[in-house]
Amino acid sequence: MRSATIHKDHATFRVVLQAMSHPGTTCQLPVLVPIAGEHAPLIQLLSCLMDNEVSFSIVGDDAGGLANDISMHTGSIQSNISESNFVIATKGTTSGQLSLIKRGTLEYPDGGATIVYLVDEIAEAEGTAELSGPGINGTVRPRIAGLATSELRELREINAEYPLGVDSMFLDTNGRITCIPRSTQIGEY
Amino acid sequence: MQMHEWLEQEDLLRKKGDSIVGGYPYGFMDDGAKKDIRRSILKAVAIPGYQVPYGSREMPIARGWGTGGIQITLSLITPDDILKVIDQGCDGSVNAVNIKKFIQAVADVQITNDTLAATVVQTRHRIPEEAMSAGQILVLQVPYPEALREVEASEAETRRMHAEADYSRMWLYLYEDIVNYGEITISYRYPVTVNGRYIMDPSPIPRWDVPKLHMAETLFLFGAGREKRIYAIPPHTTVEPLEFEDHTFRVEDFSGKSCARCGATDTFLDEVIENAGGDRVHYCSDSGYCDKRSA
Repeated sequence: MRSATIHKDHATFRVVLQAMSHPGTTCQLPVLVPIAGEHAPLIQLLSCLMDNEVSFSIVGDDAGGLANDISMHTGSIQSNISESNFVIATKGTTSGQLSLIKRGTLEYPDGGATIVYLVDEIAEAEGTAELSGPGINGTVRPRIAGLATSELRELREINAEYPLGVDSMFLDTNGRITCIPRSTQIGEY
Repeated sequence: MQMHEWLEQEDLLRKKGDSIVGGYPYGFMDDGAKKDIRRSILKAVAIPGYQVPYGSREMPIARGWGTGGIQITLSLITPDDILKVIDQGCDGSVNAVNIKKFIQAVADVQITNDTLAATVVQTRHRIPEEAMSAGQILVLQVPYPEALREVEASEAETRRMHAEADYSRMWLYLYEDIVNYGEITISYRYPVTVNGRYIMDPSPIPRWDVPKLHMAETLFLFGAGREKRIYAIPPHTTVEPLEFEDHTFRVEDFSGKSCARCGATDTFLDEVIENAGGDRVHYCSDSGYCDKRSA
C-alpha cells in the first residue's frame, strides 16, 4: 500500500475544484494526513496550489507564525498585498484593503488574486446574501459565520468590472470550504 | 548510473510502495507542474470561457495527441477515480487505449467504458451521448483553443479582441459564410458565447454536441497542451452557439438513418463505407453507449 501522502494534494484539489465550480455550496476537505497545528486545514488547502512561483500576504494577525508555516510547507514567498497571488485573511476580513489586491488586466484577467478567508463556520443555507451565476443552479444563500458584515458588499464592488476581479475561498475551522469566484453575482443584503 | 542499477532502484521504489512507476511521482508530473495547472484550472473555472495560459509540460506522447487533456487529468485524478477515455466517441481507438494505459500506470485508477460509472472522462472530439451528472468531470482535448484564429492570425490581436469583447469580425465571418453558401458552414469547432462574455472554441466536437454544454450539470475542462491554454465551462453556465435571428444554429440531421448495430436513431452517427460495392451504413459514434444498447 502506498501512503496517502503521495496523493493527498490530488484529493484536496478535487474538493477545491468542486467548491469553485459550485459556488456557495459547502465541501469538506478530506482528512488524509493530519498536519499538526491550529492552521492545519489552511496549510492543507494551500499545499495543493502554492509553490515558489507564487507569492502570498496575510491580512489580520499572523498568529503563531502562520507566514513561516506557509512558506515552509509550500515554498511560497511572502510579499506586499498589492503584488500577492494569494491573500490570506485570518480574521474573516480584509480590513478595507480589498481595493489594493490584484484584479488582473483585461488581457490577462487570470492575474487577479485568490483570497482565502478564515471563518468560524460555513453552512449552505440561511445566509445573508443571495448568490447566482455560473455553477449555481438558480440561487444559493450560504451562511458564512465569522465573515465581516461588509465584506461581501466590498467583494461585489471589487468584482463589478468582470472579468477583472478576485476569487474568494472561505475556509472554516472544521475544514469546510465554500467559494465565491468573480463570476458570481452577489445580491443585495 | 548503469542501466541495471537504475532498474534495480526502480524495482525497490515500487516494492516500497512509494511510487507506482518507480522514480515518478503519483500522477507522473512533478508537484510544481501540477500546482501550476491546478491554479490555472481554478482561474479558468472562475472566468468561464477565458483561456488561461499555463506552462505545458513534456508528456511521453507528442504534443497534439492529447497532452493538454492528459495534464489536466493527471493534476486532479485520485486513486478512487474511475476513468473513461474516448477518441471520437470510441473507447477502443489506439489513442484512447494508450492514454488509458498511461494514466492507469501512473495514477492507479480503475478504467471503465461506461459513461455513467466514470468519475472523470477524458475525450477527444465528442461529448458522450448519456447525460453526465454533477459529480463528474469531462476533460476535453483541444487542438486549437482560439475561436478567433480563423479571422485573426495574431495572438496579441485576438487577446485584445477578447479583452474588449470586440467580436465584430467573427460575426462578419459568419455573415460572409451565409452570403456565399446560404448558411453557416462550420461543421465542428462551432464558436459559442460562454456566460454572455467570451467567444470560445468548444474543441472539435460536432454541432450535435454543442447544446450539451449549455446549462449542464457537469464541469467541462478544456486543455490545449501544444497551445498551452486551459479553459473551462462550469455547470449551470449559459453556452450559446453564434447564430442570427434568420439563420439559427442547427445540429446535424440524421433523419431516416439509424445505427446498423444497435438501431439507435437519437445518437450522433458515423457514416462507414461497408464494402467494395460502396454501400454506406451508419454506426453510433459513442461506442460505449452503443455497446450498452446492444448488450
